[in-house]
Amino acid sequence: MTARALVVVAYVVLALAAVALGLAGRARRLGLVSVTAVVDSVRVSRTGRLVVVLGWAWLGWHLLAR
Amino acid sequence: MLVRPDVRPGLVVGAGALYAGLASLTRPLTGAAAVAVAVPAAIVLVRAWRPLPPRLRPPGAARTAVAWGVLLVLAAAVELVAFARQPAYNVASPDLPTLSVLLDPLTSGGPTRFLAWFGWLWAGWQLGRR
Repeated sequence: MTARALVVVAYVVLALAAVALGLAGRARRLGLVSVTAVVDSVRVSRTGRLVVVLGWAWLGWHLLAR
Repeated sequence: MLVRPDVRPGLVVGAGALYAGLASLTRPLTGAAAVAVAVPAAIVLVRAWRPLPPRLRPPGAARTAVAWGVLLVLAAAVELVAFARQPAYNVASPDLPTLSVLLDPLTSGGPTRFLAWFGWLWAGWQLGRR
């Protein structure tokens, strides 16, 4: 397997894990809650809000501007 | 200016679609694209600075945050390795592509670039809400 294929497989596995986590959270399985609930709980503090917003801004810059 | 509450969501979606339409015309790796990201980012950052009314954390939020945190750290590790192996800052490595390189066919132009912009702006609007 080439290095490129390994990277692609890693991203696909992570994406599938994210989907599984999201679905488990929505269904309240495994003691998990939805992504929205997690983001809302992180946003309780100003520091949490700033971290989340900086992550969102980085994602926009990374995917849309560079 | 006061806006009727039932009209406001439509205005927000319209403004977001207009901005996404204009921003999607910018080309990646240009100053215009960087500015198009920086403007809404600055607005959401200012909105995030405002104090919010206290809220209760739902049970299970900490466990879920840890699970998502692990996933994000792993994604960041793959991304960093790929980025570090690039021959230059703005030259992608074909052997170890970053996420942005893999998504480039979708985010570099056309209707999918508009959708990516609109989705990113929508997420930002949600983060900036009270």
